[in-house]
Amino acid sequence: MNTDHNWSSLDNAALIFPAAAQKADTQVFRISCELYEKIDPVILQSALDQTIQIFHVYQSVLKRGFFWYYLESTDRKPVVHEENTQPCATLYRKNSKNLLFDVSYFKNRINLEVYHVLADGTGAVHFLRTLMTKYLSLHHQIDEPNLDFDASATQMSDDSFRKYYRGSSRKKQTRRAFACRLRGHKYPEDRLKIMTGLIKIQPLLDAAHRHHTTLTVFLAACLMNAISETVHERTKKRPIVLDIPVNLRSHFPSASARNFFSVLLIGYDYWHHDGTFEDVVKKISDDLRAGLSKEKLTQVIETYSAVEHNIFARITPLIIKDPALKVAYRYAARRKTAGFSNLGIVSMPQELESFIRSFDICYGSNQLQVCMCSFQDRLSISFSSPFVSSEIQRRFFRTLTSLGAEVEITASPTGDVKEGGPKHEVLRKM
Amino acid sequence: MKYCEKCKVSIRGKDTNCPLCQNRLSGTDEEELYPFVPTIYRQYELFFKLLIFSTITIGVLCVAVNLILPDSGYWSLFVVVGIACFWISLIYALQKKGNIPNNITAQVFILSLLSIGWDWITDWRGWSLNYVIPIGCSVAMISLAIIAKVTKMPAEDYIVYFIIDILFGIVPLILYLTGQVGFIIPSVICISLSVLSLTALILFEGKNVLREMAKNFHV
Repeated sequence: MNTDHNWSSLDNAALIFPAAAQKADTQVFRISCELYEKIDPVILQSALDQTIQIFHVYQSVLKRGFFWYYLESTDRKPVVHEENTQPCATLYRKNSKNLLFDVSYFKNRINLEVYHVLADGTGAVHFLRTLMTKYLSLHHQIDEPNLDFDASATQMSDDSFRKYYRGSSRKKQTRRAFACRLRGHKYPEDRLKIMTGLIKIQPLLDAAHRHHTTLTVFLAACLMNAISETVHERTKKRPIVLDIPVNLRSHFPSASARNFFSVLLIGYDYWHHDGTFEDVVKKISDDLRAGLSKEKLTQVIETYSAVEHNIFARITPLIIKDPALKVAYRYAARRKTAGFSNLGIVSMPQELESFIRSFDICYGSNQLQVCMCSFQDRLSISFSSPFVSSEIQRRFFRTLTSLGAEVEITASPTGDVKEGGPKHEVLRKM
Repeated sequence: MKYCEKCKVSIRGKDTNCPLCQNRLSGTDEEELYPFVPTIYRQYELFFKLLIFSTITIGVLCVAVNLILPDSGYWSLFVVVGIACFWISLIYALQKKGNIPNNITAQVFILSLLSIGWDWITDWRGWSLNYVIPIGCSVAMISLAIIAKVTKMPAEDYIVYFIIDILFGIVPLILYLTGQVGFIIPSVICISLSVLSLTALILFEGKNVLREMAKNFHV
């Protein structure tokens, strides 16, 4: 702490978040791990104390400089507490010096909530895996097994965008058309409905293989069709676009525990195309393949970073930059219908796997967001949505059950009971 | 575990209806999986509504009386401007209530601007430059130094604001040199304090000052 360098600038992907965050769009994601037994808060706290020493980069607060925001390391220690907020509630408050992540527990479940400025899903999963390994080893008095995660403190706090930015001349990106947007009544107080489906993965893999594609593409197509069947015919003049984050670590070597991702916008135009399942699958898989080429991803890093390195952007005071970024973010949000992110397989040391029921992840945003990850033979798909209507979720999960998949749903309470009912009345009675 | 016949999905928790299709569920209750989070009513909301309403009432009454009695001059204008000043200052103070150094600095700045404006529309007697600005700056510097010492505030929390206060303390010097100041005692005190603070800051916190500058002004 007593070093001269107790701060770091935000990484490229994080720059947009402080400007864009608001009560209804908190930019906080939650990764939970459910066990088969009750959580012991005392052991969890000591596991967290050990974990934060490894992930020192997470012990930071967000501050405003004159030109940019920055992360400043702090002595403040994270404290575990029983879950007492809505999932993905705001973590960063202006003028208060709180940490940008939070660990809570409820019955059998441990939640790690992270403000996206600090890290992306992959970075946070490493944190949670370390925490769970330490917790379970302490709780069951097992020798702590080694995780397959190896990174020095420098590697973890590395800004990989900066590392891979070459500053070569960039090509002009093609402008995308506005996308079909979801509308409808929202829950009061900016609450989100989190609906998590835990599904045996095998029937889904079989179905994906029948369509000669991957699980991600198959589920993205199911989601796109569910959206297409739900929205008004008229709004489909605009394409339905999914915002799919790509983990850049699998394309550019990096062990950063901070942000290192990019997003692909994959759209399908139901107005001009027939919208058969095969066609949607083909379009998504072609677009994904094109978007994931090394050349394309390098180009994306160049384009993103060029904005940050632009001299005019750098010398504009934050007080002007902030509202400008907010407008840019809103404008960009109009180019996507929903978010769809696959965190992939979460692995744990073999001797600890039997204690864990599931992992799941969800994200606090003001549009429909689908997040998934898998653990052992089960896939967890979480819908987080500010909308009262759950038509898209119903269509999506019914598609999966019609394929013979067993689905187990967990829904977060939002204070209401019936869809379309007098919500405020109900709230007051409770 | 509960079950929805229509959706063919199992539902965990205590819901009576399917979260997907709202049909009734069969099966037995389980423990709830999320805590109950009560609705948060915004604190003090009524208090502020009453405060807003009463200040607006005062403003409207004054303007109305003034219009009925036009011979008494434009005194209601001062009331309205006064109310606006009160609200600007209060809103800022509440927004930044967690950051005292920022609040002190900003309040001095707001009050100085408002006093100049006030002085200007009332025939420019110069009291804003003679008294308000130098006294405000002095108070800001002294109080910030005391608060930082007493609460053992870490350097990164106050240094930038202290520097801004010191720089602001130079304004009376400029005013003095350009002959704008009639009554010089407050200005002289403020300038002396400013020079002393700057010296102390460089001597005792020089390293922290450089680090804070690098952080706050990195481009």
